[in-house]
Amino acid sequence: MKRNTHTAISLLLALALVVSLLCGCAGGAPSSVSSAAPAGSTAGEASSAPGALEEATLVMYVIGGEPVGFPDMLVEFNKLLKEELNATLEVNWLGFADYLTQYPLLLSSGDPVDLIYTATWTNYYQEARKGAFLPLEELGPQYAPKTWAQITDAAKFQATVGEHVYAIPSGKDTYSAWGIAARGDLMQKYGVDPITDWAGYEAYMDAIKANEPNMQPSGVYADGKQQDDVVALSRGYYPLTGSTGSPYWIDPSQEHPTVFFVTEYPEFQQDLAMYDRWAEKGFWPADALANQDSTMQETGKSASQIHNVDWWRDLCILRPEWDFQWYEMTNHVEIQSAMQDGMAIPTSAKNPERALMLLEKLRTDPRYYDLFVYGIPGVHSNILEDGTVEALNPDVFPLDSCGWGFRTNELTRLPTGLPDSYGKAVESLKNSVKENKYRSFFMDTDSIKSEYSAIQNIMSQYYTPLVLGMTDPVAGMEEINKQLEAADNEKVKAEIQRQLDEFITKWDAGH
Amino acid sequence: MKKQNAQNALTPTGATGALAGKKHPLWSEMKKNRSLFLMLLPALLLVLLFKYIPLGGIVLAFKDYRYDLGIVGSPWVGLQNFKFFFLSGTGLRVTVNTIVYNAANLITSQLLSLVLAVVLNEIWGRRFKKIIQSVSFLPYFVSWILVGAFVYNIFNVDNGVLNHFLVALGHDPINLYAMPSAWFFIIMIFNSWKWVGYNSVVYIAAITGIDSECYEAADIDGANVWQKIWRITLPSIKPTVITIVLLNVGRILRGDFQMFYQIVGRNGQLYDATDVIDTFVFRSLASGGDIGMTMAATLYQSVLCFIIIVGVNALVKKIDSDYALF
Repeated sequence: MKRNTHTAISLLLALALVVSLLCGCAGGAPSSVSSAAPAGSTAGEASSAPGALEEATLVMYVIGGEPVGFPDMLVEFNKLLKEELNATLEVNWLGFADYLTQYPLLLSSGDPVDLIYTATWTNYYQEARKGAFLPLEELGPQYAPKTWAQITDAAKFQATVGEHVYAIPSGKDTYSAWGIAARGDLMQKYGVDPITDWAGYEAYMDAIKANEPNMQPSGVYADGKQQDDVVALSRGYYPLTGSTGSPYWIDPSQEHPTVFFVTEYPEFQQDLAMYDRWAEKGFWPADALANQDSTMQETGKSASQIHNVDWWRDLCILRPEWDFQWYEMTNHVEIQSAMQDGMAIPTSAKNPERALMLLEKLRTDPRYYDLFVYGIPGVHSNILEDGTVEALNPDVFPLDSCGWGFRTNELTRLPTGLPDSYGKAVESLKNSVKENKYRSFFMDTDSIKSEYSAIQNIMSQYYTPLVLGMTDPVAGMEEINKQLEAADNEKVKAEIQRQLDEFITKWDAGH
Repeated sequence: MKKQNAQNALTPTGATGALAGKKHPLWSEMKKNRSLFLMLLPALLLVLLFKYIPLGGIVLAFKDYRYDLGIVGSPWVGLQNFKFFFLSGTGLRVTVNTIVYNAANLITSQLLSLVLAVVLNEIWGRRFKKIIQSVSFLPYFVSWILVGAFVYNIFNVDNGVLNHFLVALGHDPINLYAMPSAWFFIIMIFNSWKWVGYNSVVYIAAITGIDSECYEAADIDGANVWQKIWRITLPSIKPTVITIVLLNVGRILRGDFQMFYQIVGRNGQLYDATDVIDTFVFRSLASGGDIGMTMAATLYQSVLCFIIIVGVNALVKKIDSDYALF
């Protein structure tokens, strides 16, 4: 008798375990099956006649950390969406810490995703080539006509991979302006002139070094080492990746540019001597590459940082008392590739048409955009009469935490409380924009990926310490040249040159 | 009754032989011990689901993976995916680094744990023993991210504790971040610091299991502390030591990624001396997200692991076959 109860109990326990295991597995199944139930005639007085639309659930993925107040906003947003497009939106977030691994994993898992953020920095071109996204030339004009009309020809060219356009690039211009953000209060205190060239920057850092012993004159740290890029940019060269850290560069002023490795431009030795002198003077510590502190400038530990205009804008809001100044250093402001931000429809989408209709609303209807990006009016933010937006609770709902993929020049609002100089600076940037067709060139490293990854390794292992004056200039150059040869630099250069030639022919034919 | 039942359960194969003649042996075995097999089922399913089924993914190491074609449909590319690893000799360097670091870490941390366990066993004060054990165990709970911050605050040139100390003593400050060879020892020290307390628990358990009569007999015969350790404690826990070493040897090619990444970070100057397979692969592929190349690197690691563990086991078997794992 007793034995039987024992058996029964153990049987039950085992069964419970198996069941819970199976349940656990089942829980992982696609949760967003689009309900095929006929919508019938829902209350729809709105323009787009939702009665004709079946009810749908849209799954959207963006990159970043979900703000605490986001679900509250989404409830409001879905009321609007349900009424006008008969759809419910579900937003999932890929964190900054692991989006690089999560993003390809999500696309390869085949889980239904209707709308996803994409950009050059999430490997748009590589993913599109691997068949991750739907081509949009037919769907786009049909379901998002106004949006499609907004995309410029250049932007379309930039979003084209092979034969097709796989993404809707954002409609807001971003500028490739790099400059020095420096402390205005300290410049006044020590009588430093406004910075116009690298010698001026050196004079500023000399003044800081002499007077502020506890402050690092430059902002160099493990992830903040763009000064060599900006120096090369100021000499008129263009990085073929379109951003910092590019191993390969060209001189766009040449009729037919030749691709070269970053250390191969004519003035490089001269610049290297300057970096070496700066390191010698102690503008950054000898172990700067071990420093992970990205907040040095806002906490007053460093006196300058070479960064873009957005960096400076944030500093102005954070520390108005330090009177931050920003000096553009590249001398040729360009509009960045439109694929700096964008939205795409993955191949796994269940409702690509509805996703495009939602995108159309987000890009052209301020009711949708303001709510989604700036939160519930009166709770998360207030839109003032001058059109700027004031964050009421930035910890709960920071402004524009996930809308980069569908920003447009028309709908984007400026935050309240910016100094007048910011507006002036942006205005002068806009006026000095120069066109650079090579911004539309995309370097495809797929056929040379092994060599290219070795080259990237050389950049972090040998090039970075060299331009930060941590290795001897002569010995360091020798080492880099030796490593480049082992990594087959010539082959990589030849392949990129071939792609560039092809691009020039194609571009000249189209324009 | 209860005890008998338990015994029965522990020796499931004991009585089945008699029944084997009539039915299929496996079936009757299953029928007889159905509750036991049912209990085994969740574990079996888990192993099958997470260890065997994913093995199919290995084919990706030889393919150019495309989302729209899937695992089966993607085109074959031969050994192309392995190329990035061996280009310019980096693969060999990081493999050697991985093996040297892990072997050194295995030896130091296990040796120290063993010493700690033996010493704790000899200590009389119960309270003192507890304190030492807790203190040595604590680092296990400190994450590598924090350890990375400690390391920077100890060794950085301008404000580091070490350099303040050196300057106060009248020496010149040193920049360890430009001395790759020093990091072999720094990493080894931090690894031991973190794992000694945790690893010693197994040894303490093994020592507790030694029959106390042995020690009493030794006391009567007049053995001193060293003789007791050398003649009784160590020989008794030899199987435990060998099992632990064998288990850890299997992990020798899997560098503790967190440890290397958090302590060294993205500091190119130290790569020559501190790059292990995992950090190199992470750096090379993090920005590309190429599934085929990642799989190739993992496969390379797994195959080497397999060779090493089979090799070491064969060695143990040759010396004393009782202690081999399989």
